[in-house]
Amino acid sequence: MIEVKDLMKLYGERKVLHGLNFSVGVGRVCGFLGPNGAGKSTTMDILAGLLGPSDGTAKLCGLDVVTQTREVKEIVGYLPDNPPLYKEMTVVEFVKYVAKLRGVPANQRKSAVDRALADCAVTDVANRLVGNLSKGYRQRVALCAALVHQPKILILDEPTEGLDPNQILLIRGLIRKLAKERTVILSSHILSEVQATCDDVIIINQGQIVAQASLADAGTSKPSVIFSFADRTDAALSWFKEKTFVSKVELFNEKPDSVVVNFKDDFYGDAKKANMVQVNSQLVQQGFGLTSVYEHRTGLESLFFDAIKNQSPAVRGQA
Amino acid sequence: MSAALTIAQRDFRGFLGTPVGWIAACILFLVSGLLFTIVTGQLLLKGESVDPVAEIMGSLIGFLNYINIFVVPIFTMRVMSEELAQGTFRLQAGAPISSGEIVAGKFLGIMFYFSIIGLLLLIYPVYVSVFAEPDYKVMSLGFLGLILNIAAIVSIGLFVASLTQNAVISYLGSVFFVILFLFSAYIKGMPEWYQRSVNILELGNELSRGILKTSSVAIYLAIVATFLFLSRLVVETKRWRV
Repeated sequence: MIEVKDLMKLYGERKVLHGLNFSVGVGRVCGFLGPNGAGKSTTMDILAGLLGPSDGTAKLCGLDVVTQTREVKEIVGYLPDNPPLYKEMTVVEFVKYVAKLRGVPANQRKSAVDRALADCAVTDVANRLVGNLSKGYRQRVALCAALVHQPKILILDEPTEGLDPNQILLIRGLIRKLAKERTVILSSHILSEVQATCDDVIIINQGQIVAQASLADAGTSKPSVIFSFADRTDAALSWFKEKTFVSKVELFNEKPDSVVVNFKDDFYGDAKKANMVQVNSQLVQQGFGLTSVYEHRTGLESLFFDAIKNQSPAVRGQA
Repeated sequence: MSAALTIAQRDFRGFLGTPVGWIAACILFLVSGLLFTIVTGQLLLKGESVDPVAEIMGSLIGFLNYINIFVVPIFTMRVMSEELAQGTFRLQAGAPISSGEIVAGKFLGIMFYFSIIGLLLLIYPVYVSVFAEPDYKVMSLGFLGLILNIAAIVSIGLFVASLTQNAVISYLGSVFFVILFLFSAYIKGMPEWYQRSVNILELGNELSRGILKTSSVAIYLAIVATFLFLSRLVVETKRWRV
């Protein structure tokens, strides 16, 4: 669906993209993760046909962004980081305008606009001026405009930036819903954002891809487990150290009464539930004063920080 | 081409949806109204004239041509520089349309607005024709000159505005560039055809006196075409710069 090869971009002397290589399959939600200034927005601009690459190729559905820009723009819906909105227009006028600009045929325009408004849950503000809406609504209106022409590929640049937690949940839900029918690329510098919405993750730093993985491989299917104890934490720690099914155990640095336990690979899988029940009941029998147990998904976080720290291109898992 | 009309229509509505369009209209109507009163008053004092209507309309349109140097760049600044700064330009840049259509749309939107203003200014000739028998040919040529002048300034303004995201630089730059363009006619040693071509105010005055030459209309069209082409070029190269 999206094939990027040796993508490079220079702004004058400054190299912002150093030959990116990645691909995103049909129907996947791919998260572009990286600190500010990593080159996320530049990549998105190039994919949307707004910016020309200095070198390399990018193909969307087999269409080249340089030689077939117009065709690429037809199949792409793009929401830039600074949502483009005309504040003096009403929501419905604005979306209709974008539909017209995007070449949605006149006889399908009304239904396309209505569907997009309904998809983004902005029908109730359809007749209000864009300028009078809250930030969350504006973001949704911009998203609505990005998908009014039913694009096959949706590119979202920091879609939840600056929204309150409630609005973030709404937008996330929306993205998941939209992803059912199309390929989505979204950029973010927030880890939990990518974790919550994406299938794959590409970590980019200083114009280079430093890690690429599907989220299942990024540790999320093998979470560490945190056990908290009322008093005998040290005893519990040494108890875990003796067990053969434990691969790593240490005190949890955020809470001194807890231990973080990583189990060996065969502990997970189909037998995981039964194994956990057994471990828990044994802990209770030992009388360590177990107070709570919860799974801690550190995979993406550690992947991110390792990748940024090492800075050497590494491909982990598979994309 | 329909994309250009879509953009033109939106921009025109945008002028009326924000104070800009109304304030500019106020300025133009106030100035033309005052001028009309003054010129008519002077004519009454003088007591005689060969063609009073041509005289009134000539000075009115001549003055409006000046004023437009300062009014039109407000609009080119809005549709180009402000859109570049606010990011709304990306809506058009991201749509499957050509740079030429974008520039044409912005040009037509402003021209549409000023055509409406021009139509409303016809109140003066209509009013005059109640009391005197005007030379309709002279009068319509004057209006043609007004519109052509505006078209020339719009195209120059669009070109300057496409170069910058800064509204102030865009406005002052356009005014300055138009004035420079006009005054380059007075640089010593410039060929005569050049002197005649760039002095669009003089061309406008010629038209408002009823002198229609194919060359003057051709010059206007050449100016418009040149600067629209340059704007298109700037918009197109934006993809390859920053």
